[in-house]
Amino acid sequence: MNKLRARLEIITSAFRNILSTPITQPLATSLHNQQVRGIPMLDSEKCLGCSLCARSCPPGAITMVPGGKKVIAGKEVQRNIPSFNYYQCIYCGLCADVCPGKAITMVKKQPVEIISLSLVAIPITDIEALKVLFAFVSLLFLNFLIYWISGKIAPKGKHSSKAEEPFTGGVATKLPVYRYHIDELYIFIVLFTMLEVASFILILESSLSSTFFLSLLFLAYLLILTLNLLHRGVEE
Amino acid sequence: MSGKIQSKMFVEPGTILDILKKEVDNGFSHLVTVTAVDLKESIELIYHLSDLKGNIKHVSTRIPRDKPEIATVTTLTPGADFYEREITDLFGISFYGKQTTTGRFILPECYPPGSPPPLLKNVDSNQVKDTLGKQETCEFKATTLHAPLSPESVVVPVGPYHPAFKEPEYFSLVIDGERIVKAFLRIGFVHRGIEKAAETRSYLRDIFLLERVCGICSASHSWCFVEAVEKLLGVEPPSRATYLRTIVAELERIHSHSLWLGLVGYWIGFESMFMWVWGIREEIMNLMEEISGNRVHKSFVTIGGVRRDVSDSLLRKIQEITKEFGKQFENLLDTLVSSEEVIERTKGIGKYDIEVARKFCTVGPVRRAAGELFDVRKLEPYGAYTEVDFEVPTEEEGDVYSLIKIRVKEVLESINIIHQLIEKMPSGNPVPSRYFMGTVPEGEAYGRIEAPRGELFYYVKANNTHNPYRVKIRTPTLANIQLVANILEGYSISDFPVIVTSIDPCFSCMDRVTVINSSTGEKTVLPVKLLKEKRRR
Repeated sequence: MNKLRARLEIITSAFRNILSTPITQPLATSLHNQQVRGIPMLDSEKCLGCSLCARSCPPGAITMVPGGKKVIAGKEVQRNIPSFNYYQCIYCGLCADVCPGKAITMVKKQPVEIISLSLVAIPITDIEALKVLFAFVSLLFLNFLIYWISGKIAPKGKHSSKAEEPFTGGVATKLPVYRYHIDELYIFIVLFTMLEVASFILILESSLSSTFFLSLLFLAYLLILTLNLLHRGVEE
Repeated sequence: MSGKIQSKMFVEPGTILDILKKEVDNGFSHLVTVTAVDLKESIELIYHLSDLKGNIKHVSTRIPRDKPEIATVTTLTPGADFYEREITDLFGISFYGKQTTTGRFILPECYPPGSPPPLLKNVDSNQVKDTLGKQETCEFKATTLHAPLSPESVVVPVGPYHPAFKEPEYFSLVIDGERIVKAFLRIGFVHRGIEKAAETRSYLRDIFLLERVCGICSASHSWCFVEAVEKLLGVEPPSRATYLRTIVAELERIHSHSLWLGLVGYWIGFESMFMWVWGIREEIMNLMEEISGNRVHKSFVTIGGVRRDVSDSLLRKIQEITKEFGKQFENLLDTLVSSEEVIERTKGIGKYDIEVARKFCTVGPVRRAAGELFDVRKLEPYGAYTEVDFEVPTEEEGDVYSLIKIRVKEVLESINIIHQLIEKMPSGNPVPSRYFMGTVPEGEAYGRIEAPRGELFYYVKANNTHNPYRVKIRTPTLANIQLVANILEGYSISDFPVIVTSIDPCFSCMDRVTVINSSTGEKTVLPVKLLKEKRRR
C-alpha cells in the first residue's frame, strides 16, 4: 500500500515538474529584483574625500585616487575619491552604509553597466610606468618613420606598358606607381615591430620565459631571411 | 552563552596533565579546544574545558619560547590530538608523549621545517607567502602504509582532486576485498591562513573575513565572532536584533541540514532525493536573500546589532514559507523513513557508541545521534534561545540512519523556533546607528554557539587596538572528523562516501588537517604482527 502511494506520488510530482518552471532563477533576473544588495556606485560630486569607505572595505577593494579639488578653509586642496575594483568587491554594501555624504549608493546593475559612469580621469602617478610607456611609443614612432623615409628615398618608377600586358594589344588606362624598397630594411622593420610587440607581451605577462621567447623570435627572423634569400634565388 | 574570560586557572606546564585529569574527574570532560597565544616572551596555551551542564573552564599555562615543549593530553582525551598537532604546525610547540607525530598537519609539506611557525607574532604574512612562493613544487606526502598488510590487501588512493569530492581531501584506503581495513586521511589542501589574516584587519573587516570560513554556516561564524567581541566591549545588542539573528541562524540550520540530506541521497545512489530536497531548499535560500541581500554570505550580523531590519510583512512571509516548507519536509520524512532503499543503505552503517563519541570530543548532531543531549543552545543559551520552548532530538544507535532522523527532526524543530520567535518579536530598532570602528579594550573572550554542524568556538584576544591580537577558530568538523577515520574500518568500500558524508564534513571550514588515524588497540596489533611476519619471510 505504502509502495503504491509512493509510486503515485512520483508520477504526480513528475507531471507537476513537467508543467512547472525551473526553481532556480537566472542571475540576470535576480539582479534586478529588490532582494539583492546591488553594487556600489560613486557620485563623485557628493564625495567628501574622507576615505572612510577605503578603510572599512572588508576585502580592500577600494583605493583612493586623486580626483578633483576640494575647498578646506578657503584653500583649494587635492581631493581623493574612491575607485572600486569590482573584481575584488564582495558586494557587501558596507561602503554605502558608512559613507557620511551618501555619495556611494548600491545600484542594482551589472558592474559592466556602471563602470563607464564611475570612470574618472586617473593621472598616472607612477613615473617609472610613464618612462616605459614613452620609450615604447617613441621607438614605435621611430620605426615607422624609418619605413616612411626609406619609402621616400627608394627609387620609384612606372612599369612600361609591355610589362603590364603579357599579350599584345590593349594598354592600361592608368598605370600604378611601384616603390622599390630596400629588402633588408623591410625585414629589419618587420623584425623590429615584432620585437616591440614581444617586449610588450613580456612586460604584461612576466610569467613567460623571456629567453625562450627571444630565441623563438630570433628563429623567426632567420626563417624570414632564408625565405627571402630563397625567393631571390628563384627570381634570379 | 559566550562570555568574557574573567578567570583563568594558571598552572605550571609540568603539571598540566594532572590538573586536567582532576578537572575531567570533576565533570569537565569535554575539551572544547586548545588555544595557543604568542605573548612575545612566552607562549600561552589555554585548554578550554566544558562540562555537560554549560559551565566552561579555562586552564592556562605558559611555556618559554626558546624551549616550546609540553606533555600531550591525548592520553587523557584522544580528541586533543588534532588540536595539538595544529598548534605544533602553527606555533612550533612540540608535544611529547604522542604516538603519531610525523609530517605537516595543516601547512603544506613544502613549508620548510626550519622556517619560523607562521602564527608567531614576529612572522610577517608576506614572509610566509614568499617562503611558499619560492618552492618549486608543493607535493603532499601521501600518508599510507609502507607495506601491504597482507598479499590480498590493496591501497586505493582517493583524491585530493576527485570527481566525486566537492572539496579537496585525500583518502588512502587499505582494502581487503571489499572491506576497508585501514583508512588514512589527509586534509588541509584549502588552508588559507584566515587566523593570521584576522590579526591584521580591524574588527569590522574581520566579521566579513571570518564569515568566509564557511559558505554554508556563514552567519554562525560571524555571529560567534561578534558575540565574543560584544562581550569584550560590554555591548548588549537590542532584543529585536538577537531575535533576528536567531531567525537567520535557524534558517541557516534548515538550509544546511537539507543540503546535507540531499548529499546523503546522492551518496547512497538515490539522486531523485538529492534533486527533491535541494529543490525545496531553494525557497529557504530565496528567503535568506530577501532578508539579508545575499543567498550565501549574508553579512547580516554586525557588532551591536544587525545590518538590516526585517519588515513585518517579510516576517509574515517567512512564517508562511517555512510553514509550507515544514509540510513538504514532513512528507519527505514519511517517505524517507519508510523507504526500504534508504533504510538498507544507512541503518547500521558507520556505527559508534557514546563512549567513542565522547573520547573524540565530537559535537553537534554526531554526539546527539549517540544519545547525549549536547547542544550549546540548551547548555549555554545564547541569542533568543532562552525565550523559546524547543526540544533537541537525540537518538541511541549512532549510525547514519539515526543521523538522518536527527537532522530531519532538527529542521522541523527549527521551523517551530522560527514561528515562536516571529510571534514574540519585540519592536525597536535592531540596526546600530553607526558601525563599530573603534578600539576594543584589553581582554579575552570566547564565543560558543551551535552552528548547524555542531558547537562552534571562537576565542578573541584584544589589546586595546583596532585589530584583534589573536582569533582562534575551532570549527565543528575539526572535532568530528577524528571520529570518521576511526569508524570507517570494517565497512565496505561502497559505504565509505556515506560514512564520510554522515558527519556533514566541511573541509574548507576545517581547512587544516593531516590525519594519521590512531585506531583502537586491537586493530593496530594486527598490522604490526603481519608486518613482522612478512619481514621474517
